[in-house]
Amino acid sequence: MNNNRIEKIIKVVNSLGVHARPAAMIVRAMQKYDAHIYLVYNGNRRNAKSVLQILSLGAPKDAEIVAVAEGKDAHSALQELEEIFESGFGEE
Amino acid sequence: MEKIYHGIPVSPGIVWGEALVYDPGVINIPRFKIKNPKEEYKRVQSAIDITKEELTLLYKKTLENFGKKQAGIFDVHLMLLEDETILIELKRRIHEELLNAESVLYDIAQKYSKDIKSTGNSFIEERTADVIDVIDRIIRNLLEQKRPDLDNIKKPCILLSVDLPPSETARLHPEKIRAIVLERGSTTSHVAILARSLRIPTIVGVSNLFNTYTAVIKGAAVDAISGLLYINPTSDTILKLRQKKIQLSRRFLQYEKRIISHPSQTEDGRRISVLANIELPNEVDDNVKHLSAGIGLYRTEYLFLNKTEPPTEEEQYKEYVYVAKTLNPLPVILRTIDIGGDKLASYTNFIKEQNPQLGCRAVRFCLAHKDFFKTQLRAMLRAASIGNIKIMFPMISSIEELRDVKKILQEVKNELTLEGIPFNKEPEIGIMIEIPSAVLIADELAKECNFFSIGTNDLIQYSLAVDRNNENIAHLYDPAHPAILRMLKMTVSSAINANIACSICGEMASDPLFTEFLVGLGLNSLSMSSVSIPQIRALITKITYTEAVEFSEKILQCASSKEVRSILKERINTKFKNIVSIV
Repeated sequence: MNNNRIEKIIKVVNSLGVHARPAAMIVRAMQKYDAHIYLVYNGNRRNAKSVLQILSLGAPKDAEIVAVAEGKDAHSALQELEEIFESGFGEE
Repeated sequence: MEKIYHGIPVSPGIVWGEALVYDPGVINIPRFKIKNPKEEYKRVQSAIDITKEELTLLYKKTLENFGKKQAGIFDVHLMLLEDETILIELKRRIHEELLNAESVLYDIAQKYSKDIKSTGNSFIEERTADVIDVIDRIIRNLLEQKRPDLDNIKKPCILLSVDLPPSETARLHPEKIRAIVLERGSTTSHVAILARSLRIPTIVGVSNLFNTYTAVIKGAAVDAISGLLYINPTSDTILKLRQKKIQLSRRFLQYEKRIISHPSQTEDGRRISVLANIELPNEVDDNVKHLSAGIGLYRTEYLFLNKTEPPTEEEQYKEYVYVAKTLNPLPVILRTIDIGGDKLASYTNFIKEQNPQLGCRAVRFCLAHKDFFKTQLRAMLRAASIGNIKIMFPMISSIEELRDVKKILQEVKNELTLEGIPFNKEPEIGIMIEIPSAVLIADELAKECNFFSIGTNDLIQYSLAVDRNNENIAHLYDPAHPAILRMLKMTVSSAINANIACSICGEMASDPLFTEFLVGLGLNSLSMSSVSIPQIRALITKITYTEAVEFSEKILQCASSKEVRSILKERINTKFKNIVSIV
């Protein structure tokens, strides 16, 4: 296990929450990183490279999600992830 | 062998030709042990590849025909197809448990739908349908059982199906779908309403269509005038239908000629405005332009359906302006969204309700989602500065609700003023009368708005406590019920006393059986789907207003719906036979 492990709390800002289109956006962005990336919400840990798993988080607006990345590019992965969430997935 | 089925005609026309059974049906998932996991994984990979091709094609076609927003859903489906979770679990279970791919896929769909549902986030819950949809496609490709794709129909055909959800209906192409026949559905279901506006001949409520036929379907003939479906029609049947069709088109042509040269008024000169109901801007066709007196009901929620996110203010503004400009100076009544109930849009955070018809729909939904509501009102007020637009609120049940929506409207006006954006400061404001409580306080409501429009579909459903989509009790859904007729009378009288306009925009307005009665009540505005306009206008020219008033009074004396119907029918047969025998 690579010891380069980072955690970040990320907030859902768009009004519809993490639904299908945002899930697809996240996966598309995260696939290019080698790091293992997880989203933890409500006690459930889900793979950020799977639309199916992200959907099963059921994260609504204002949810605080703990994002975890492990691997050498963990830092840049979480940075991009945070930007995507902050942009509200291009929604309102 | 020819087989005949009976149903309810909801959109007129006569058509015959090839039939397509759109019935995804239930597939039996085989579950068995495999010997060669490598081969099995290869088999599922190639099924995934085929599915990918299918979905890519669907994406492209939807993009081409309906735009980026509607196509977005296929993009998500494509991503699900490449989902790590699905692929890893497939590989693992095929190799470790030596299970066939179909059963593993089925288990994955079950497991994740359950997971997603347990999050309690109803908006995201809706997405289980997508997961199941994608996995169903892969399984069908494994079993080589194709599901017909409505977007992918090559030859024009007659569509036979159990049912069609509103979002599926919104993607129907009139050039490809020549007629629709459904086992379920009713006159007022959305399939029916949309089919009428797209002018696709349609029959619904054909019982046992999919239980009893065993014959191979070679073709079908649809007589959506009399409500008859012929499976594998004989040449005699087609000959008969062809003659009927020719006769009908001749009569319709006569109507239209006569109507264009005739003002819409009774024999004794009372003006009756016949308006059109529309769902989508592209329904503003020649009938609407030349024969209608404007739009009496623009159901704006169709702009919101079948999309992954709501339309923006600009998008809405453009649609409203287009319709208003095309018809200017004729009025266009924009009804704010009636989302919720059976028209649930997939992106709203809609909590599943036990009884959606009595739930958070229409203005109730809007008052609970103010941002959403304000965006729509902004677009409407702005568009109203360009054309003759009026704004109407659905499902008003109390004076407080009317005041609340007006308060929000005022807030929106203040915001637009502050931002210096041009808009119409005083457009006419109206309400739908479709809840019995609104009928009973119509005199109070009339003091605080500019017009009423009676929505008979819901008014009947709520007054008679009949779910119009439940086939077992659909016969109880009865516009001729004396209670309904009295409620119409009450509403119209309240409007007349308060000196405000009153129109009717439910299906009753397009039923020739009721035209004289409605005119006699004092209604001078009827709104209906554009196909019905020629006939109703022709009928109006044969009505004498003074006689109609007497006739209405007589009808209001009836105690039973049976009595009402027999008088209405006799009247049609004696006085309006030439015009109405067509229906």
